[in-house]
This record gives sequence, C-alpha cells and structure tokens, in this order.
Amino acid sequence: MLLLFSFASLDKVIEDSFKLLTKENQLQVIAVLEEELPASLPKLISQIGFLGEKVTEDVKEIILKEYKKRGVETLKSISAKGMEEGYQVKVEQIAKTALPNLKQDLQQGEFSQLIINYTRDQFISKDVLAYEIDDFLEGLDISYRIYYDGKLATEKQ
Amino acid sequence: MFKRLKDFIIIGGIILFLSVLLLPQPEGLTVAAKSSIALFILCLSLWISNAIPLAITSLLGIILIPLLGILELDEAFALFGNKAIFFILGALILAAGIYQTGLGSRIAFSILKKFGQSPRKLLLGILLTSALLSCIMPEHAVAALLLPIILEVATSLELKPLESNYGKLLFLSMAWGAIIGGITTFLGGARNLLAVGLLEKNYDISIGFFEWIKYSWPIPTLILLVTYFIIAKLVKIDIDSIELARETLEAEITSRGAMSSKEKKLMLVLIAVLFSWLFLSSIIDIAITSILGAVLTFAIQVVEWHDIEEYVNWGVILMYGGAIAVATSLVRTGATNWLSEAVFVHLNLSPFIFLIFLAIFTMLLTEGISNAAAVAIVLPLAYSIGDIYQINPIIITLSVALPGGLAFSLPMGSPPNAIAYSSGYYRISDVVKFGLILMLISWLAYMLVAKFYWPLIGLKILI
Repeated sequence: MLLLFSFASLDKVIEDSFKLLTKENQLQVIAVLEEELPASLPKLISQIGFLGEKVTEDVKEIILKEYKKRGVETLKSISAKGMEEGYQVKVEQIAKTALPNLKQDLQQGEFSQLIINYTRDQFISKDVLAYEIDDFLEGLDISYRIYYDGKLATEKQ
Repeated sequence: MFKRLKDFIIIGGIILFLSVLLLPQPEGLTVAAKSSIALFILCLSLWISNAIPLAITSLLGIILIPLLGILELDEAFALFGNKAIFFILGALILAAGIYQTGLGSRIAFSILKKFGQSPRKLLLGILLTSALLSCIMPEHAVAALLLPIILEVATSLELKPLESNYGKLLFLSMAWGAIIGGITTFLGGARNLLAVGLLEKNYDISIGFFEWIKYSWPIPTLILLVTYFIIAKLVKIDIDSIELARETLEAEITSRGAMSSKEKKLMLVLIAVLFSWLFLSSIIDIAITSILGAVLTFAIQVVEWHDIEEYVNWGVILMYGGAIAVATSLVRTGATNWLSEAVFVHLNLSPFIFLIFLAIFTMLLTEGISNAAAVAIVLPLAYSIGDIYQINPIIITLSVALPGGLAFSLPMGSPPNAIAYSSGYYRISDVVKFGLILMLISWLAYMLVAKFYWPLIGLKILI
C-alpha cells in the first residue's frame, strides 16, 4: 500500500491507511515535496515587490527547508506509529520531479493499493494545482482512495 | 479559470488598443490624446494580466509614446527622470542595507521580546513589529525578514500547519502588520511614491515625507487598533503558554551578541536620514537625502556594491518611471480633460460618495493585482473625474494610494500575503473572511479620516 500526502488534515488519512493495512502488507509512505509553491514566490515578489533576487531566494530557501523538515517529521511520526502497532512501514521523501519514477512503479504493479491526500487550496501558481496523477490513475488497474484535505473524495476498489 | 481570465484580459486589451487607434477621431480629442488613451489601455491590460513583467510593460509604454506620436522623443524620455525615482533608488539601497546587515532582524527581536508574556501579547508584538518596521523599509522585506523568526516560534510551540489556529494567527499578524504599517510612510511601499510622483507631474504639487505621515497616520492606527481588538477578543487562541517560544526568542537574541559596527554605522545613517526627511525636507529635498544616505552607506563601508546589486529589484525603477510617463502623457495630450468632459461628466455622484467608491474600488483591484499597478491604473482616471468635481488632487492621490496598499486576503496583490501564505499554516479560505472584515474596517477608517480628520488639518475635499 502506498500513501502520498499533503499536510492538510493528514491525521484522518493516516488513521484510515492503518485501518486498511494488514500485518502481511507493507505501508510505503511518500511525502511529495511541492517545489512549485516556493519556487513561484521569487517571481511573484520580484514582480510586485521592492527588493531583489537575494531576498526572494532567501524566502524560497526558508520555505523549502521548512517543507522538507515538516515532511521528515511527519514521516518519522508515521514510522513510529507503524512500529508501535506492529506494521511494516517504509517512508521516503521525494521531489515532485521524481513522480514519473513513482508512476512507473505503480504501472508495474508494485503497490496493491494507493492512497493520496490532496489539498483543495489554491495558490498563485497554476502549476501547483496540476494534479496530472489523477488522469494517470484512471488508466491504471489498482484500487485507490483519494482524499481532499482529509475527506474521502474518490474510491476505487 | 485564472489562466482564461488572464488570456481574456490580454486579448481584450490588444483589441481595444488597436480599435482606439484605428477608430475615427471623436470631437474634441486630438490624435495624440486618442493614441495616449489607446496606450493606457494596452499598458493597463498588461499590468493587470502580468503577461510580461511589469517593468517591461513600462518600457514598452515609454517607447510607444514617441512611436505613436503622443509626445516628442525627448519629452517622453524626460518624464522618466522623476525625482520620485531617485528617492526610491536611495530608499531601496538603504532598505537593502537594513536587510543585509541583519539590523532589521535585530530591531524585530528587540521589539518582540517585550511581548513574550502571553499568546495574545505575542500576536500583538508581531503585529506591531511588522507595522513599525514597515514604516522604515518595504513591507515585503519586513515579511521576508520576519518569516524565519515566526517559523521558529511556530516550530518551538509545536503548532500544526493548517490545524493550529494560533499558527494561522502568527503568520496573519505578520502579513497584516506589514500591510497596515506599509501605508504610513513613503518607505513601506513604493506605490506611495508613485502616487506622489504622478501628483507632481500632473498638478505640480509636492507632498513631503512628513506631510504624507501627517495625512496617513490615523488610517493605519485605526486599522491596527481594530485588528488588535479582533485578535485580543474575537479569535480563538488554542494554546495556553508561549514559554517555549519566549525561550527560543531569547536564545536567538543571545546568539546574535552585541550590535556589529556595520549595524551601528547604518543605524546612525538611518537616524540622520529619517531626521532630514521629517524635519529638513524644506531645505534638502527628500530625494537628495535618500541618495545621500545611500552614498553614505557605501562610503562608511556598511555595504558593498555587489551585495546591493542582489538585494535591489532594479525592475521596480523601470516600472515606476514608465508608469509615470504613460500616465503623464494622458494629461499632457489633453486626454484626461477630454475623458472628464465627454465621459465622466455624466457620472452623477457627490464628491464624497465618489471618493469612497474610488477607495473601495482600488482596494478590490489591489487584491487581484500588484498594488503599484493598481495605483498606476486608477490614479490617472481618478484625476480626470476629480477635475469635474473640483476635488483636491491631494485627496485623490491619498484616496488611491492609501487604499491601494491594503490587500489583506489574496497572495497575488501583496507580497506579505504571499510570503505568509507560503508558510503553509493557513488556507486562502481561512483568510478571506478576516480579509474582508479588515477591508471593510479599512474602508470605514478611510471614510472617517477623509470626512473628519483631513478637513481638520486643512485638507479640504474640494479645491
């Protein structure tokens, strides 16, 4: 089973994932680092703002570092929960650019079930909302659950 | 949806530009004036849609002025040499120094540590720190400078992004403080200077640094008071203690040690510059002081050129110079007079009602586009209408520039919002409700000040 997540109301999704998990299965959790959001900041700030590239890059770096840290902490807490409850849990953090490799694994049937938690929130960059993985899933023979901000939106058995 | 709207604005703008250029000449409008209206429409669509960088739109505007026969080449380029541009240049260099030397962060920590007693007081501290710093440096630099500090606070308190109400409030206080404080002086946002530059080019009236504060201060003060009341009384605080955050702040202050010699030297330059802007502007023009301050920071080795190159957004200079040239060409060709007499004269509003509509219109516009672009677009048209009603152009300038800085909800209009939002601690939906409340409060504050305070200090609505 594979869990991909955004941070929006994640607790409920983690709970559900563990409920679906059997002792024979392994839960692989992947935090996808959304680099587009902080990357869109320098452009926005330098176009409408007052200070230059260094300041905007500073902001981008701070935000990226924070996202990475949050991802690592969340993954750690899921690992700890898995260990405590006696499940096999493997955790990993990837950049969004690494999604094609993940898609390949999904196509090759590496996972029995897929769980994704998206957020409906919108932001400056249209790229952030480009959930191309949705179209990809339609052509895939795998059971999946898609959550938006912790609420189950689509399910395929 | 945004992409379609953007395309619509660009294509609509180009079609309108060509249509106005090619349409037969209406009575009373010269060819040059008609072309200047067409050019303004084109620039307006490009500034709103951000199809090309704002600065490049301004450059396009400057070259199209002589190409379309609106003004002579020399006259068009001369409009770029506005003293407001030189003030901005000096202020940018000084602000870059405050950011680069760490003086800004030090000031922030010094103010914040006085408010570390309770969760609500810390929020007040962030709001005030942000607002005060925005009086001496650009609001987005303030947000950029405070972001790592607020993130440290949020982490030390183990606040969960998107879930903790206190987490949301920390970042919103930072952004809103910067936005509110940013309208107080020329330094918080260069749109204030852009507006003053336009006033000077169109009416030959100057507003000094001190005068601006004299006109503006009640609005940010009222908004800050109400914002604090909302934070103190109305919002739910979901933590009991900020002891861990206080310890983090104190540890950070200790690790910074004493002020460096560069910080001390820069502090002295800043005090001297602020003193001159406030009290000596009748003897030394504020643009001269600004450049002198910038030169001093190099002379006493506070900053070096290659540092400043990276910290300054040079495109802003081009954007402002071009915006002033495009807007002024409307006046010089008589286009604004024609618009007043042929189009806007049919509006049947009382001057005060017109002003309050102008303020809310600018506020709404600036939620979606850069506030400098909002000022560049609205102000020339507002002057045209203001001339019909014989409204004091200073009042028109303030009624566009002050509300034009108050974008509280969306990340697109104001960099502090974008920076706070990118922290990931809140959703747009969390902020829209409060943003709308703040917008209404700001509108009310503007109305009160325009109706009662400005006449009290001798600034009459009608000429």
